[in-house]
Amino acid sequence: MTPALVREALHRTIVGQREVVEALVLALVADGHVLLEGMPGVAKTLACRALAAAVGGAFKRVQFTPDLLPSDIVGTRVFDQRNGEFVTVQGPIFANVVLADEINRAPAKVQSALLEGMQERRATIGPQTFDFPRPFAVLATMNPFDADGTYALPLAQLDRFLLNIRVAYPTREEERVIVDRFGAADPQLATGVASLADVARWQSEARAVHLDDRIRDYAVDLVRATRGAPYLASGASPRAALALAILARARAYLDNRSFALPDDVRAVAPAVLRHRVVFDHRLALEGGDGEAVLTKLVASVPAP
Amino acid sequence: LTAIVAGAADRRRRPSRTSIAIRSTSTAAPQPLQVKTVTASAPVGDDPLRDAIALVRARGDDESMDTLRIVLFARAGLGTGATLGDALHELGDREPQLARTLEASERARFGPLAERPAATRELLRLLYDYASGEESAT
Repeated sequence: MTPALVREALHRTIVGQREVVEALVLALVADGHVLLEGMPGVAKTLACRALAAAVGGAFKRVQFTPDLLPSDIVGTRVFDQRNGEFVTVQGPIFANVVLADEINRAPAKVQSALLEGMQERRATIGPQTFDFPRPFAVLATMNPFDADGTYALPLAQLDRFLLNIRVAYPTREEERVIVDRFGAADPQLATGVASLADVARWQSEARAVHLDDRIRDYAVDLVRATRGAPYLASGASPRAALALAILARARAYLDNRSFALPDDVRAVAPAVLRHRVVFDHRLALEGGDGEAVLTKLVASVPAP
Repeated sequence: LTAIVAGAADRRRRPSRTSIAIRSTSTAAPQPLQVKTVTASAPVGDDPLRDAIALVRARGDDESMDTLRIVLFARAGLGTGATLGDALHELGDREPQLARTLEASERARFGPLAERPAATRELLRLLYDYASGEESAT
């Protein structure tokens, strides 16, 4: 079993959205979390469900709302009257794939509980601490065009996401296929393509992929180029360089290579950097495009 | 050029003592890097690819491999800072032999250390094929 099979299985369910599918599989292999930004109805949720089904993992979806509480995510202790004692009820974060839908609709306290779990991969409920099942991936969604009643995620919390993917509308041809495929029946999810043990093995083997010093330096140079760059108020953290290295290895592994190439770093750079930088006011005043700024910045750093 | 590449392959098959002697005598003649498109029929002494292969033969280190990669990328019409993906995109369906050689050069340069000797031998073999193809075309 290889991660490429999972990618193929997702493509059998999801129409188009190649970048989303690639990112989900890469994040699975790299043991990271993904932030998906896009309009409603562009298959974000379906892609997450399809990923969980393909690897036989437990899937939980949490709709983030302003009245959500941390215990709604992590879990709580309730008093069992029959036994006369408190019992722990684990929240939806205890799953292999957790979909945090519209993560920016919940207040900071709830976001913080989720993001702390993402980092620590464990949660404390009452006196007990519980490890999350492995693999564990949070796939969060945001709608960038509907900011009313939302709570923006701080940069420090955005940094916890390995990748940030912009989910675009499908092409006309893809949309026609969507209507044909899903118009009469629910989407069929491919199941049992791989097992959770396979995923653990992929993660271990991907970490062993060779990363040459010059490719490591390229990743570092890309991140350093974001600091003080035109139109950027603040650059990416060292965690971005780590993310580039991890994802370069994962991409090489997905491509059945035992070593990473400069292409691997460059391919993932926009998704690693876009949520880790802050654009300055000049960009908005001049009507500029952040994506174009990032693309230019990545192109300005010579590959080894 | 074909003879040089074939010679390189022959020398790699000889005992290591001979290889060491070649390495020590040849390091004195690294050629300056020339990023320009050249052909196999270029005059002797003015052929960056030949010089780069000689450098890899003589030193076999990362630096010499980088020099060879720069020359191969130049043959694909690209300067320094480009990636294999850029080169394959630039070449399209043209020059499949050069594309395979470029891929092999990436493996020889960025592959795991334990795999590099075999990757370098494969690269030299492909360079031989590439150079043979060019010579027969001219």
